[in-house]
Amino acid sequence: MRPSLPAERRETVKRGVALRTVEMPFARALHLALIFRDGAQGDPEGRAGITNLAARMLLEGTRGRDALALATALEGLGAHYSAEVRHEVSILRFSLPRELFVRALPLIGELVFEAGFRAVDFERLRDQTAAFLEKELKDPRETAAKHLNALLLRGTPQARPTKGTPESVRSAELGEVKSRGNALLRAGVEAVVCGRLGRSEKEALGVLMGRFPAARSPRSPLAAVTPAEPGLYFHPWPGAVQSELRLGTPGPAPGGAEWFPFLLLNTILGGKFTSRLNLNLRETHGYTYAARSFLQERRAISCFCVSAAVATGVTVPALREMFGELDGMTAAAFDPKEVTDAAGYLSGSFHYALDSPSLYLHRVVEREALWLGPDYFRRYLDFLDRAPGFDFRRVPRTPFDRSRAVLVVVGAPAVRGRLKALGMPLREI
Amino acid sequence: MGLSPFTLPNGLRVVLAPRKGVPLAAVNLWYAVGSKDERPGHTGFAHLFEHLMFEGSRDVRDNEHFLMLERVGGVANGSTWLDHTNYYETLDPKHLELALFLESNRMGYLLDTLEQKKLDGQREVVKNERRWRVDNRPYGAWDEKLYEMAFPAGHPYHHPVIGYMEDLDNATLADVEAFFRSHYTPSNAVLTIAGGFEPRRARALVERYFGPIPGGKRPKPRPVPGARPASGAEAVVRDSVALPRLYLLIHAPAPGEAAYHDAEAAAYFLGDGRGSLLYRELVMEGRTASAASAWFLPAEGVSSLVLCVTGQPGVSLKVLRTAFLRTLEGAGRRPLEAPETRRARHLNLAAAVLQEESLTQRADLLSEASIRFDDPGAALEQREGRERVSRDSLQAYLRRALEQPRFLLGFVPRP
Repeated sequence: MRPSLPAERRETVKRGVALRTVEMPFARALHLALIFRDGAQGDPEGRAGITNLAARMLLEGTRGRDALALATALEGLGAHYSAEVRHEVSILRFSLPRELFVRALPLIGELVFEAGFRAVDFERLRDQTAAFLEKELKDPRETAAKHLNALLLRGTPQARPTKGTPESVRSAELGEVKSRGNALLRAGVEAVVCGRLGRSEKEALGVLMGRFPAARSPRSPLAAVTPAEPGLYFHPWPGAVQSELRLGTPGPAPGGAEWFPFLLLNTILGGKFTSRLNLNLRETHGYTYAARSFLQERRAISCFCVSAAVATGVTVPALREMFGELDGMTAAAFDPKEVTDAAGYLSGSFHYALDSPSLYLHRVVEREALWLGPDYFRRYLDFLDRAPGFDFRRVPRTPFDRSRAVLVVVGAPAVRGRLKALGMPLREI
Repeated sequence: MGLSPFTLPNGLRVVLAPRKGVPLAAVNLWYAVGSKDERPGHTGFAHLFEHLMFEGSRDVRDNEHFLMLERVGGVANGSTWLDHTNYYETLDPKHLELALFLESNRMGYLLDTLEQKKLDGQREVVKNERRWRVDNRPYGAWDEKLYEMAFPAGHPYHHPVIGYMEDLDNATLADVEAFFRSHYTPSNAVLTIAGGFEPRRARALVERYFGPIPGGKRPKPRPVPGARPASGAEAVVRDSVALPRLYLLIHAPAPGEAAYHDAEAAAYFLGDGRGSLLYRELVMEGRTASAASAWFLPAEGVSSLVLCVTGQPGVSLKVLRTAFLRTLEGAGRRPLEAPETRRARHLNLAAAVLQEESLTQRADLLSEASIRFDDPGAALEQREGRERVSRDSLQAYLRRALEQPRFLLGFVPRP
């Protein structure tokens, strides 16, 4: 028998604003996430990073408090908080001791509804963000991830980096950022709270949620992608002692008919420590510290990705092993034991989220951010129960087809010549 | 806290911390051995050994350790630090026996299946871990360089936990065997089980699986000189980075020492959070820095308080250094304001609340308190200690700390 999940209450507050509360009786803190139904996908053409600046400006002061006064007030209550912007949603998170939660809610309301958007704070945040992005340009793993995203989602608004580039951020202006901030509020919001909610917490939360305006129609999700030409994209990185490898193909739609079976196949390939990829590249060959595969999820699409950092000298042998494992996933059937093991892992590790309210909040936020529906957890766990008898021949394996994949290698310049041995089209980026 | 501590005849200390209604059990095993116990020329050995602990034992075949846990949805890992190594599993309480079997089998019988191939394989994995964490990452060598400066050659904390690349080749099977026999004895470990399990059954399982393991002697701990240095040091590293960055390390009180919790709170006051001193003065007001942060890193004998600031584009390391040190000097001299103290104190307390809320972390805290103080209940006192931090105590700590010798490491972009 599987463990029961915490009681979750779903309600609609004024003007259609959704509130999800998850009761976890032993919690000592309360965790709140505000999910705004708009993200970096809404950045105007050529203005990547504007939404990220807008969401972060919410934490940079209000009409009545400058950035420092707001930070001092929130942190004076012990609040740990952050702003995150993805392509389709923007999320504010707050965690603080339960006894201080009620005092924090008016502050949270103030920062959302009375955002200051002061020029001095904006200019600083803009410079800070541009500096952060410049710093990332020197990081091979960040570079590899950004290349893969741009190649897989080419030609769509989601190909742009959510935080923008140093250049796009430096050219941002306060007016357009403020306008995006207002758009975030109008896009609709959903709140998720995990912890132990008493009467006073519920009342204060109701007051906060009642301030949100009615949601407008949500932005349409990205429905399909046409990646760049399959093949190998090489980014020379002088001095690199490892090659960062990223392979990607379009994956199935989250929550769709193929989704759960594909999640399970991905687990067999690279979703756990004893996955085929990790056992091969790490345990058998010692080529890497970790090799894994995963799905980057959006509302209506996903990207299937493989990732590893391998020692420079074994880049080509490591890629050959990776290809072999991908080819193995196109087999007609799987060893039932391997399927049972993967299903057991996914089911158990799902329940690991019960370890703490903050972990469980994360699970619920992911579900809500992707519009997966209230019965998603149940459907997922039901599938895992049935997985050992499931006919995986019905599941398309095209995401594992490496002839359709884009492969990014960020590594030492000397690696370029060796990559030719793979016989793939090779482009330098 | 509802703790039931007991000790097996072989010396293994056990803490049971049941919590009703929780559908998980967290098993946590701390060994009182870390990188401080390594011999010269063998840096990185404790961590390499941690990897070998997942490679099977007498009744657990290669790769089966993780596989057996994953099959039932268990989440497991380990970590090595200066003064300890821990291993943990969080899983459905009905599989508690599996976790105890696996931990006991490697505690008792790791060497039965150890072979050169496993050592060589994990050596390569660890070398790649080092490349990934340190050598192929901007600023990746910061802690290695900073600890080399802050602790003199010969001090147990002088070298990096992950080890030097050249030393990783020196480990032999004989070293592994000797290390295991010296440090992986029941008497040198604490086992904690937290969560939704039945205590009587858990105790019976612990006795069944760990009881037969021979006790061995508790190794004499390698002393860690806690003496504060007479003078500081400063160095600059040229690296593949975009922006200048400064790290500063101050020796801080060890767990259990007076002012330990003031030092924890000092990290929040100085550099953790947007309302912290460095963020406020260098990022918000002075605009010389683009980021500021702080960490408090506890360790036996002497902890470390580490501050970090990253420059804005166009700001030189020299300008950043001047502004950074001026800010710290000012902080040591002026009286603290009430909101500053409240902020640091509440953030520190909230961090404790968030830690204890997680079953996995709670088990870890209990093991830590047992190893450090021989008393799991000390984990509760940690929170009380944080509550006792006052404006006067934090002020007094800061005044002392900021006058201590400091170790300053700068990074500048390589031309």
